[in-house]
Amino acid sequence: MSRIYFDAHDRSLHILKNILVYGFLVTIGITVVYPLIWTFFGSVRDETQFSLNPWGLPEQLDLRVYWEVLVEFGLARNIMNSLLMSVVGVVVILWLALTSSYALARMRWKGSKYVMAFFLSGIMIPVHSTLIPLYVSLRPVSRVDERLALMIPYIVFGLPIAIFLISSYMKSIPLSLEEAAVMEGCTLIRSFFNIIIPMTTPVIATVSIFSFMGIWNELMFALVFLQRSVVHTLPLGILRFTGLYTTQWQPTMAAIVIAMIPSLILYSILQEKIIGGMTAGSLKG
Amino acid sequence: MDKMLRNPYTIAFFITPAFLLFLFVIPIPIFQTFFYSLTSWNVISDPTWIGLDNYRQLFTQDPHFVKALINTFIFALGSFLLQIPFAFLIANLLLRLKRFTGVFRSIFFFPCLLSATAVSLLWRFIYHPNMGLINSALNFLSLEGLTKSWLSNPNTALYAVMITVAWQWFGYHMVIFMTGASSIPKELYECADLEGATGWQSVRYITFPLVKSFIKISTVLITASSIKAFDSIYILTGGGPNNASTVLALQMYNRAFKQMKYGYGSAISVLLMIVAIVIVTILQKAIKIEEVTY
Repeated sequence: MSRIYFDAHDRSLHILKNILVYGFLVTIGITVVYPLIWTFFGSVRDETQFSLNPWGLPEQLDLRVYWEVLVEFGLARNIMNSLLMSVVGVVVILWLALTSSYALARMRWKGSKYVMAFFLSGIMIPVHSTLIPLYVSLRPVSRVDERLALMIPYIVFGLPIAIFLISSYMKSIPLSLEEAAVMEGCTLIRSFFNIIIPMTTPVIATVSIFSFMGIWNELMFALVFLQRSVVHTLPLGILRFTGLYTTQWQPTMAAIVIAMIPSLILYSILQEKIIGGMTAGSLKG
Repeated sequence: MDKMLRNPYTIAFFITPAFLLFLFVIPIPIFQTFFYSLTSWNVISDPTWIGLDNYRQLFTQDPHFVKALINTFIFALGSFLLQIPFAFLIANLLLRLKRFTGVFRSIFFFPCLLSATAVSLLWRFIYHPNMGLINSALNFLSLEGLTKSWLSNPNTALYAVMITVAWQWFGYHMVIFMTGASSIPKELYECADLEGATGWQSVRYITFPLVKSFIKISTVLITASSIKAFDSIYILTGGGPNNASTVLALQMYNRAFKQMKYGYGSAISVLLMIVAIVIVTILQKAIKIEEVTY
């Protein structure tokens, strides 16, 4: 009898515990998600409605503001700038990191260890400390195109972690594969393109995600390098709306939503890849 | 094969471009920053050598810099205290959950993918004194007494930024901890339950020893990124009100690019780098981790 009573007691305690745990997690989930939804709501109704009912459902769904923000405020242009810089940046980072990782992880030469340590020291150094001299010395390039000048630090800041990840991955590829290819008359360069690069695709994906996010979200260097609004990247583009902050919420919130949509779409498709890519740099470090 | 792998031309072809770019973008500018920090320079005229004068001025005549230095430490410590224990707690709850683990994990992780710019702008609305989420929620709960203009109050501004950053990043550290604990077999917890271990005991003796090295990684990451924090503070408070929430990176930016004092800004950026390297090195050395496997 007492045994049955005990079980029932245990069971209800267990259920209570579950309710508490799930309740807690759901509350945090709401804290994370609700601000994002709230911003979307704010972007589809005007300020008067907003002030009447700041956190409920919108009574209207006015998407015209998105057109205004993208075309009239020129945010579409900023998105294109960010996309261009991120894509070109990732491609160049991959090329430089793959070639130098091959030389560091595979090829045999004196000093490769030191060069590796030299590259990896870049992980430790806060890049802010290079901003002033880089801004000054890249001014000639800036006169041609500010985006081009900014690409140079963006690429290099992505290199240390990319080299670290790719070279440690390359070390795990067995040498025998390449040896066999070389025996059949394949050159080293060809074996690099036809054997090594295809075999490193998992880590290439990781590095791409990591580097893309880094360039796509960067603010400080962009603030200094990109003065004219036509060359602004997306972070600078949405920052232009702060001038409207006190008077007009709707376009600013629309701009924030626009800035979030690409991440949301990519995340819903490639979620595990992205989580892996974002944490890889730190977990293997 | 061995001969091919020792071919100096191939090696040079592979390594030189990356090496040169790296050299000209990180090490050389670091030395230039050191040099500029010993000069007075507004970019238009040539730098004039003033020795350690910038540094002397920073520590003796610049209350904003001292404030920034203190705030940077507060920011790093506060971010650590806000994020690590919370992320560890959530990770532990999720690890023992029977259902919806994946859903919660995905949701909590998501904000770290957004740009700090978008997140900070969004939080400016959340903190808005009249229509912001926080104050309207407080009004709704009839707690009008607690409403504040969070970002323009010198007592709350810096902490408001910390909360924004924590909102964005706790999920990231949670995922790191969950990855660390993923090698723990689920039966181990069941076994502990059967043996009558409390939830706290299983966390303390099963999860913690394995996740410890991941806590160290997160601690180093949070500290390093807090020391150079710029984006969220620049957007949320601009360092205000009256420099109450200013930090090192913001001071460097303002001095160099707003006031055109490049030498002075360089001195701040040298100190920023030294602080970052010293603290991260200390953390790496101080937290000793022995390997554990199950």
